[in-house]
Amino acid sequence: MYGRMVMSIDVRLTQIPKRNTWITKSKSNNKKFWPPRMFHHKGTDTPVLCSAPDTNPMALRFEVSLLHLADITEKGVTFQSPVDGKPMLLTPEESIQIQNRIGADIIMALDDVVKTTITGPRIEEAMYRTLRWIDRSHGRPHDQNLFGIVQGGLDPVLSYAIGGLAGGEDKDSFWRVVAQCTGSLPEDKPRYVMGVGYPLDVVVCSALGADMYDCVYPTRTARFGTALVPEGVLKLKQRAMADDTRPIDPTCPCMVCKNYSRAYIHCLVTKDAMGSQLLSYHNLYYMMQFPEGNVPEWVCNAMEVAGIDISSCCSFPERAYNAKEVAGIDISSDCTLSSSCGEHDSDNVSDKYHGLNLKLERLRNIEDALRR
Amino acid sequence: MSFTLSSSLSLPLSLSNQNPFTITTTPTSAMKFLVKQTRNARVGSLEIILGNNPNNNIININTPNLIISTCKGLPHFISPDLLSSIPSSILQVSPLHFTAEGVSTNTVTKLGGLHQMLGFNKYCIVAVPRDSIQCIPQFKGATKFGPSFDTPSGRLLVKPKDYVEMISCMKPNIWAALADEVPAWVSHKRNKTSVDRTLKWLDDCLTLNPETGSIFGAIVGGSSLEERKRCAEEVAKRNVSGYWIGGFGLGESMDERPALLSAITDVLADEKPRMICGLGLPEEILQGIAAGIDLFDSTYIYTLTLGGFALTFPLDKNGNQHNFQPSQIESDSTKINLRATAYRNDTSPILEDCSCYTCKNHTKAYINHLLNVHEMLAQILLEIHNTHHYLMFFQVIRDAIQDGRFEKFRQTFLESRRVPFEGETISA
Ligand SMILES: [Zn+2]
Ligand SMILES: [Zn+2]
Repeated sequence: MYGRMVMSIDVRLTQIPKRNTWITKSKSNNKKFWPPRMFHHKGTDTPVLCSAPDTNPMALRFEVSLLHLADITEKGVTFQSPVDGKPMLLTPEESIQIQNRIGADIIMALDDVVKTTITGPRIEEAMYRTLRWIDRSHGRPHDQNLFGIVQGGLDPVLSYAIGGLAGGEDKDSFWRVVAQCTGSLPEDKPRYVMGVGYPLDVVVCSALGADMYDCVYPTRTARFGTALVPEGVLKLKQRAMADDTRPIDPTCPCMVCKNYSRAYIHCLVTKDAMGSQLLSYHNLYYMMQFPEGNVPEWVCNAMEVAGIDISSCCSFPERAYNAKEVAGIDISSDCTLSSSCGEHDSDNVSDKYHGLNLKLERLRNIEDALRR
Repeated sequence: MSFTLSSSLSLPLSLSNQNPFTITTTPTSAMKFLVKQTRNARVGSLEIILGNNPNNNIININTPNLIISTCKGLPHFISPDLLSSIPSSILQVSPLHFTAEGVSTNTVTKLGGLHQMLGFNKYCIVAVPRDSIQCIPQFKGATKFGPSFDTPSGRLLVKPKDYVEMISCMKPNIWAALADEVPAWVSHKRNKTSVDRTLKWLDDCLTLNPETGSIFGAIVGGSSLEERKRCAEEVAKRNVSGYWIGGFGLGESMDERPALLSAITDVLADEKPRMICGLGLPEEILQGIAAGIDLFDSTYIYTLTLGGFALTFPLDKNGNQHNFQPSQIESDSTKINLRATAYRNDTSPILEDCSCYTCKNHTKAYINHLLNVHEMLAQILLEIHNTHHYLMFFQVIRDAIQDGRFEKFRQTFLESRRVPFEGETISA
């Protein structure tokens, strides 16, 4: 993760630093490289999540290099090596072998990714190819968990996509696809939505029954000097920040907000390495909390499908319609949160997200433990 | 922040009876220095009293020691939540970083000073204008009004009045007076001017007294023995809490340095701490310690880290460096370059017996990979290891001084390092 040690990532998102295997592949001609568990950090229980290359620029750490993706064929993905620029072929089998060697706890089958804005037969092709590739992938069941990837763009007929989102699709299509996927997947297996990371997206996906996320948004935005705050974003680079002695977010309990003023961070951002480190810390912390403020219409719709009543928070109560009917599906029985939500009558939405609150609590516990 | 005098005088050092020693305190209430003298190399303990409650807020810094170099008060790469993994509590801060970057003295005052601004209440902050990275002294730009520095936002002339104002709002624990630092090759006349100006500015700083922290008088004089001595004698007459020795690492040769250093330390009061800027290599540290320097303000670790280097020289109790295996390419006898392809498959830590976070958790191959893909984590891990290793080097030196073996240690260190060097020259 950009500019953060795993040790400190542990304090925030806890969960799972994602690595992309393609870096590994690009220099693994020598089979000795990346011995098992190289990435597994002693002293933490942090599972290491390893994703196969996907072309989704939002989900990747090395977006630029991956734009040089050359070709996807039945054999695998050919891309330009970030090291020497030579084209390299990565097959589904190799992808798994590399991930086996790295020793990630969760590994990903290779998937055929298309832009979500593309329509037509290419999407169908991607979906079936991804399925064929999953069949070619075999993990080590005793110590690694293989995640299959559901692909299929935004076409409502084909859609089983959880991968391949966050590529520029509109929010209404986005949540429908997630709802459809989670509704069709078995309850007893975790669902990971790749490349999703905006605070509201995470909340909505969680409500719709997804479990895991990854996104460069909090760290990338930090690199540009932007902090995530309840009101939206705070641009620390602005001249006005130079004399602002308040913390980034006075309500935030994170290490950065407890110790540093906007004025101090202003003089670091975009100039010194420490600026993006401190902002990343806050932004990652922020992501773990429930966003407040006006709830956009698409969220109200999604929540309604999830069976969660947030009508009092919605700015468009009169326009909120039954999205379930519009989508033409009935997923209410599959929605993990809908059953528990009935027990709560509070207007406070955050009360209803046991999952998120639990994560936050866990985060605090870890922080306390580290302080001791 | 106000300071009170600690009434109880504790002796943190186990003072041995065989060696002559002096125990003294400096005239300031915010700082206390206990020193045990063994010829020139000496061990001591610097006590810094923080805040209002001297019972709870005393930090002890064993000397000789390294002052951690920072950029705007925080280490270059190690973030504050990870700083506790470094066994040190003394940081160098250049007040000019903030002036140059637009944080007004007003804002710093509103925040309550450097400690509050940086979120550090358990650290000794040493304010030194020059830092060798972002605030480089420009002797050509200096005038009788003040020294001149090249900063990221242009050249900055700093007058004593402005500087004292920065100090009084930033409230560092220790601050160095302004100095007109000149390189070794300037004319005798220019060198003499630099001493005159430095003394004048010290007097200005003392008159303008910011009533905060302990002032260290600046000593300059270039490569002139006579001027160095004159400056040191004059500064020693003033009411300062310690000495800041500048103008080193600016073109003088390694060979002429011991005489220059002794010319200074010979005339300084034994009971006051001496800090030096510009000496960083292990050999230079040993030179300084041999002359009786207590604190080293150096950017050596930063330079190493930026270049992808990791310190690996043996921390042998007797200074023996024969065990160093310069087996890999792109390494000399103190450090290795982790960018080298030789480390691509190296699954061992930087140093097998190092107890730092980096060595406990990561391999050379991983750091090599991070360097290749330009991940900042590489620098974070390297800064942790390098700082840790250098602090351990100082620990080994302190032990040697304590046991009265410093001269032997120094000689062994230098001689055993020279051997592989000569071997390389012959084979090349
Ligand atoms: Zn915060
Ligand atoms: Zn180490």
